[in-house]
Amino acid sequence: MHIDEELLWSYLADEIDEANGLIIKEHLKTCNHCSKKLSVLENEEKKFQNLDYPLPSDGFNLRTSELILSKTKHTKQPWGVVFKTCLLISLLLILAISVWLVMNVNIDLPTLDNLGRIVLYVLPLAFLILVMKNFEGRMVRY
Amino acid sequence: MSLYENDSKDVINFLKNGSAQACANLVTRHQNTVFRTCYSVIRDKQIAEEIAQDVFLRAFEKLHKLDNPRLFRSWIVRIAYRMAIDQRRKKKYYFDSIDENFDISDGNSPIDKDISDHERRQVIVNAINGLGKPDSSIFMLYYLEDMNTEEIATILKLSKSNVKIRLMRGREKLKKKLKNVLKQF
Repeated sequence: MHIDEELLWSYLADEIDEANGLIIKEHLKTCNHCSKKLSVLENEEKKFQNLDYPLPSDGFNLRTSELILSKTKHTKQPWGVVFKTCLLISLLLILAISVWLVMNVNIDLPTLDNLGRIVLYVLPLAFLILVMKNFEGRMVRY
Repeated sequence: MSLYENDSKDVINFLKNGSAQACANLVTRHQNTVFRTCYSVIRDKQIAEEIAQDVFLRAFEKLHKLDNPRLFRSWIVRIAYRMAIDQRRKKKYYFDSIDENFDISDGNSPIDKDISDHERRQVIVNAINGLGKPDSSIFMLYYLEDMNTEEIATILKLSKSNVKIRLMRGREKLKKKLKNVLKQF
């Protein structure tokens, strides 16, 4: 009993399950007919893989890349820019309100030393920068 | 690094900062597959090249929708196949006339004299394209672009067994044609 060509091809192309693969492998050890058939198939596969089929013309990749880059420049997603602008405006507003409050409202605040001032004004700024960076990172979801 | 890892890296780089190098890498790596996919449907080199360019443009416009960057290759080939089929449907009469001009040898009349490289190439192209849709695309993607049956099945929305059957059928037809015409196989 010999292996049919379709099964032999599947074995050659590694498109067969492990169990059947082992059976075929064992059979090929003792069957000259099927071994020769496999050899012929291997030859044919190599010839098919080397057939001459058209390729794109020279410079296709350069022309196409340039076209893609010129088009993607003009269609940058606007919502990212809008979000950053809103964050920046929020930051300025927070700073402006803080300054107004300090200057106009009698709040019993302890006198701030330099370190205190750094913490009060720089901390919100640092927080907003971190949020923006995190947002940029999340734009690439993978 | 494997092809999939390289694709993943370049897709992420392009999405993150519009890297020109990443764009060039992706186009160069997949230009042959995309072009040949279009050509296997369209059979006109110039039109296939125009469609291939449109495929890349559309792919990069929609790149943010690609769920898994590692699957960039299958994704773009699917886009290429669909766009080529759509284009063929739109200009059915024009493309049908191209098919009629193909000299599809039935394998019964062997060529006795030596043929030039150009004629040889044309015979091979005719034989592959003569397998019809989608068999010619299946054959080309499997043998010339080194894709497996699972990838091809995903791209063409066929079952894996269907792809295998068509591949086997295509092999036999092609063997017969090329054996008699080119004295190959």
